[in-house]
Amino acid sequence: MNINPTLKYQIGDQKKSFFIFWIIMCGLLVLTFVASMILMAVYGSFDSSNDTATQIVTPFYGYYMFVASVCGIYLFFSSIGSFKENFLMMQQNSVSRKSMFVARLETIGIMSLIMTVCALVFYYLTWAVLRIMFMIEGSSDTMALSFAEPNSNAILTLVETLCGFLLLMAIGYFITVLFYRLNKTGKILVPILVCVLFAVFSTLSSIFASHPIVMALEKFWLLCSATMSAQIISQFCFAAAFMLVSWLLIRRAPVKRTI
Amino acid sequence: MIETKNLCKSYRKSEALIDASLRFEENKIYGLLGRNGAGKTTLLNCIDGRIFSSSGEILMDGEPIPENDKKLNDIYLMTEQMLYPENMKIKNIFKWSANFYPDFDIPYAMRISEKFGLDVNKKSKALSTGYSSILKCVISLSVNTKYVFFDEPVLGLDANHRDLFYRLLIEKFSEEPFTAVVSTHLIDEVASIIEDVIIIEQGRVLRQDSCEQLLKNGYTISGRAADVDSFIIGKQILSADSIGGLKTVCVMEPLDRSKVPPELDVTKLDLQKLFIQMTNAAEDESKAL
Repeated sequence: MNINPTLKYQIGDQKKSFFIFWIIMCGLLVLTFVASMILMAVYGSFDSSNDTATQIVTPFYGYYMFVASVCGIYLFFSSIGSFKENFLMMQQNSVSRKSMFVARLETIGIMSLIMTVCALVFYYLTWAVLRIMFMIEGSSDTMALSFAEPNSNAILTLVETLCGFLLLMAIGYFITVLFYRLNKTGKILVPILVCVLFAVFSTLSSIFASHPIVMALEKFWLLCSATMSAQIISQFCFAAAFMLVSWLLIRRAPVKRTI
Repeated sequence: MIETKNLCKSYRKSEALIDASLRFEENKIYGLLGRNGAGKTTLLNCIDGRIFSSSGEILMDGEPIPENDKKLNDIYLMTEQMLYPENMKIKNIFKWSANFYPDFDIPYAMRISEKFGLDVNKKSKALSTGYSSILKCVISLSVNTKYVFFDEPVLGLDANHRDLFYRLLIEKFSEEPFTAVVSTHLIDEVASIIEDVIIIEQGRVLRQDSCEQLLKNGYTISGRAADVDSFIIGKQILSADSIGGLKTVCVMEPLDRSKVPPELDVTKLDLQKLFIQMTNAAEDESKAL
């Protein structure tokens, strides 16, 4: 298998946009802090002896999920743009579809892991700057250092983030592969069909809420999201399912005429 | 050796390849000739795995090629389509080619790029049609794989660049022999460099033979109609033209010059004329059926 140069290429392809994304994130963070400092200068600074520090810290629990969500959106869209150009480049360099797909799986795994770590680092970086700026100390410090929700496991939160990223990248990749394989008519019909099915399903499931099939689907959904461990397993399984279908679409994909 | 056995490729409304059985031996230069839509590009795309054949086998040294990285790494296919990323600079294309093909010679690629006047700092999308072809020629000549397939390598090239390409191809072949398969419509230009010829017509392999053998057996006979008619009895005729009492016939058969009546003129066919006659005859035959 010709995986090494293929993996190197696919990861290299993501490098530039990855750095630009984090530069923008840091830039936005700097802008937010500058704006806060201006407000502080106008309205006075905070003192940890009053409740304002807690007011900053408490909503900060959601900040990690906010950062993770933004990273997830980036990964989804970067995955959507990752098939056609890579596929054609691999075909030109006589790389089999199998090798390309295996390298893609590795790329998804590596990118998701890196992004999970980066999201965590960014979270702590933001908290460090907030601490310095607003002179926040003591118990508020300990509370904010735990990026997981109260009463939940930090390691599980990280694993859940990782699996979420895997799922988003798998969905993005599946969409781009599907659209490559579809002809012109299919590219128009499929989005319409998805919207129609979604609308029909939503309507029918509310009309027939007590129907066994609808109830079974609801039970399945609750089962998948009941606990953090269930969420992790279900996200991983869905990611695997999307990648499997993507492989079935890729294995006989022809090089289409681009001229 | 690369071998195709009864290779077929059909699309919804047409058969692009019908029972194509061919051999590409090592260290030879082949000319793959055929009219527009004959199936040359389809054949090359099937061999390289860019499209899948409907049936048949494609083997290299007895092993199937499709989806076999080890065998695919011994092949480089250059087609009209530019599959490299549009925004990639040429020098980066060379760098990545060296990653995928370990024997890719970057210094050689740089040297011949200079000869062609190709700016390696340009992006591939900024190249004209001619320079796109030049880029692909440079990579094909630098890749150093066992088999290199050139599909219309001189498309858009001016006469000087075409001459340069052919010279570099011969030089490369002399220094480090490999199997080159050149698919082109410019038959006169490649006739002097190709060893073996494969002629494809309407998806079928019309003929695979050495250039020498093919040209040995192709000739025109002209003279009075009655004299020509009596001489060509039992011979394989490609075409016949009559004007007044004179007749010209193209024949594809070994010729014993000593048995040719003095009143008849015999001229050897060049490769292009032979190709035209053979493909026209094949077309007429299929229309008759």
